[in-house]
Amino acid sequence: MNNETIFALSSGHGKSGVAVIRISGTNLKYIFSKFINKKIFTPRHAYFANLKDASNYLIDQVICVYFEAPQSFTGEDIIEIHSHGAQAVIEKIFEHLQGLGMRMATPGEFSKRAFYNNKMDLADIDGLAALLDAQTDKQRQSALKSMIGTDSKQYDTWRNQMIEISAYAAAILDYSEDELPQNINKTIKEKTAKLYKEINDTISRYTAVRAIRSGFNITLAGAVNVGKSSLFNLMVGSSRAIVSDVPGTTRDVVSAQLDIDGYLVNLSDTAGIREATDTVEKMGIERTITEIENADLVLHVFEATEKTDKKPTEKELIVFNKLDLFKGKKSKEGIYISTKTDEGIDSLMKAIKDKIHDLTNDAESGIAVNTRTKALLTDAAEELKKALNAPDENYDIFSEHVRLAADNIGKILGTITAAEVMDATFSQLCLGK
Amino acid sequence: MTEFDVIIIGGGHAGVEAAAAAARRGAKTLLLTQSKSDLGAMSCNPSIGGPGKSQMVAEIDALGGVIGRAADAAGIHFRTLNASHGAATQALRAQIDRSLYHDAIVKILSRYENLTIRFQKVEQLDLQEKTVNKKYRAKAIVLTTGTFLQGLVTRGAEKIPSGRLQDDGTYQDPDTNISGILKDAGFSLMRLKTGTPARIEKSSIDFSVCELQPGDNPHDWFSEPNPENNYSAVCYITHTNETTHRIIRENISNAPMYNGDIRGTGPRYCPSLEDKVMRFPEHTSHHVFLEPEGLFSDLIYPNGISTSFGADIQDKWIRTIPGLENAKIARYGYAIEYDAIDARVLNERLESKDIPGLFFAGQINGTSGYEEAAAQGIVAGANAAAFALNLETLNLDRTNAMIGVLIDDITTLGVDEPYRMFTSRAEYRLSLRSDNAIARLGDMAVKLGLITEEEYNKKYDLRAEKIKENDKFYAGYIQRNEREIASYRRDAAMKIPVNFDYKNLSGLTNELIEKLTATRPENIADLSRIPGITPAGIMVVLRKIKCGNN
Repeated sequence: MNNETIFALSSGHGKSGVAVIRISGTNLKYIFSKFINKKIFTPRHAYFANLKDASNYLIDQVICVYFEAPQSFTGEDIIEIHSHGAQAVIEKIFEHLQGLGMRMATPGEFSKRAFYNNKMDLADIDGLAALLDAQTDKQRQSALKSMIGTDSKQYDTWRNQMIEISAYAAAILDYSEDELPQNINKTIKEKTAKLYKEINDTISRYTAVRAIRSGFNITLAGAVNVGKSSLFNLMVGSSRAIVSDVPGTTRDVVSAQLDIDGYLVNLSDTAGIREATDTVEKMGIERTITEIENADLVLHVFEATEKTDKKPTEKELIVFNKLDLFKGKKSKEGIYISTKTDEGIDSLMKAIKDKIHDLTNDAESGIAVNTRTKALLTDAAEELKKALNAPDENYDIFSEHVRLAADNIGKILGTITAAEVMDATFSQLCLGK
Repeated sequence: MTEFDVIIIGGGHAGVEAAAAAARRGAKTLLLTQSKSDLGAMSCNPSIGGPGKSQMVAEIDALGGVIGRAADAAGIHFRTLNASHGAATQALRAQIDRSLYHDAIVKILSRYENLTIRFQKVEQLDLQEKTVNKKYRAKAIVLTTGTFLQGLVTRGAEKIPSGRLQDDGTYQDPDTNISGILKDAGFSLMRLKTGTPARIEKSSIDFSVCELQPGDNPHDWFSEPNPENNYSAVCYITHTNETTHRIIRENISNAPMYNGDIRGTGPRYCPSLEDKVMRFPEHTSHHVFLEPEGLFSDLIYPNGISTSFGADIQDKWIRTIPGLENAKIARYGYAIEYDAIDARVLNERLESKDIPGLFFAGQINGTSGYEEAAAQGIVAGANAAAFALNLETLNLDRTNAMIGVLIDDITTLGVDEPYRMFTSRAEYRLSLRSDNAIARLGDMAVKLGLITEEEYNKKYDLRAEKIKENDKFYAGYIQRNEREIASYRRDAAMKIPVNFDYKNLSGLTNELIEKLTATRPENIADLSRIPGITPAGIMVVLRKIKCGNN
């Protein structure tokens, strides 16, 4: 049977050094060979790969393993991608896989396929039942919470809006024009457009605010010669750099992607305060300010000998460099380091980790579901848009997209049942001869 | 004792279709009903088709059924509803001349040589031994008793034990035996309610103040063009008004639905006028469709104002409606309550899970509507014949027929109001259109002996162009449907044994165990549609099934 290709995060949720993403489907050979950029390969062997997105940008350096059907967990072809465990990396890979036409697995779908293909033994399923339990309600709730804080009322509203739209669509499908209220066509389109806009707005806000897609932005700021560049290099060196374009050539800021404690970090050294070179001059100081504004965390670097009254905000750390040259009384507000002797670097890294943890605390509980939630919402919004774009009067096509949108919403917020739609249809509209 | 293969009890739309299907499959069939006038009787609105229903009529026709052909012979006003919308929402609906329809049914049934029709009440019925009235015995029995089980007509304070008010103004007796027999056999019964409006004498209506609603010309046909039918009638539309609504509100304490006299659950999609007025106070007017009961009939069926008020109150408010000021009321509207079984005890062939060879179809299963009844009738009849003669069964599901959606809904989820088909109930509706019914079901119908190869070709050729056109238009959606269908089919193929024991399954709540034990879903697809089931629950059941198989 020709199944859709599905994927899911198989390793635990939350941060981890390495994440394992599993893909299951039929005929995955070609995709695997694209991943590892090799025509010939051996199943069950580990291949190192530069995983690139559709625009050929590097997503992550990964290990890929191919399991040929039926010798796999599900009995289908399986690809395992072992990537770095940062949320941003996982999310980008998911995005890439969706772009390739795959979809996020529903809870228990891998096991179900394994079961159908006689790959599952009883002990396995025993364990899975407990696991799947966790994958349903609790995680759905936590996904809801982490998505936009505690604003679950918003979700109830959406679900109700979706039911209402489905109800109107059902009425249009099933009653003749002369039995329907006037303006129902206009009303349903307005309702659909409204829900589409709300979901879409939230998705974009989520993306911007959570900083998960693009990683945590940490920016170094400070005067010239305080040792920002040295600190930058030290941090890059002490962490595992993923991508580095040091020395900066095409950008006006020097930046690097780091893996700090499982999180993807975009570290940048603001260039505006450096001696301006030709490119940077054009960008000007404003770019630096923007960089600092967009940062999730700013490291303000001062010389240890400097006196500063600056109190750090939630998203700031004050760093005093050149501790090796300093003998005076230390300020309580700052972290003292020496880029020359490495003294204090551990404390700084710990402080950074604490900040990251604080920032991600509420998004922590269910990253996979979280990503899944977002994917489903995106799909739902997409279907609503298609409904709105359906040819005039083609309410069968309109309703089909509404059905698919409701399916997606239902997978996050609890299945929208026919009974609920009927209830809404007949409580809101006076129908029937 | 006269021996038959199949006995059908009830001669309404379900019974007629069941008898014809069993006979087409070669079963020696007996149809038992109270009187000849029962055959194809249209107790309520004189129309067939409409959204959701017309697709089923097309499917029944593809399976060689009679409703489409009879409607083509007796239709007097055909309209394609939502003609300006997409093909999948368009629906043919016809006003039917009730006596022509009855004649057409009688004529079609008379052609089946292996079908015997007897007019008598059921005094004795043994569900296990399959004997009726100590005179007839069969291998399979189909019960299609409509609204007759403990039927009770209510109109204001009047209560009349009856299964229906007949054309001649007399009340037909209800059945008072079968409910008890079913209860003794372990079936749990529920009380449902439906209603019908008054019938008004045509000559007393002033149509000049009403809006004319002509039929389509030329018009579409359910089965095939019928050259003998060149009848043409017209319908009219009028409206209720503030005065009508005021009278209803003032008298609401006398409405049996509101003062607690009627406890049965009525259908929300077909509300009585008192219901519309009370539930939607913001509406100051409701449509009333004045539909002819027949070409030469002097009766008009005022669609949209069904009621169970007493005759005196009906008199008052009906005459406030423009055109009906001097209305002579031939028969007053009424509500009727009747017993129905919980269809969750049936399998997808509409056969009892507990008593092999016992089938149910129509309103007794909690549905409403002629088309819904006929749809179940054909499935029950074809499968009763299969049971009796050991033939291949007729299995329709959500993926290949609207009829399959209906049967799956009522046997998996049960009903809490009379069930009517809606297009929107079908997930794969863009694939389950009227035009392509023959393409979906034709092969199956030929294989099962429900239609001949020749009939198949004729039906297909009539629609080939339309099918091609629509399949092309909906190609992208149909493809997606097919992917969804593939995964549904796989789940449906994973059968759950009839006697599967849900007790002591860790991971299922007691509430769910109770629900599953009552419902006994046939397969994993049905299981996953039961409200409250979790993926974990499905896995637990899967494990147990597999354990059993090993």
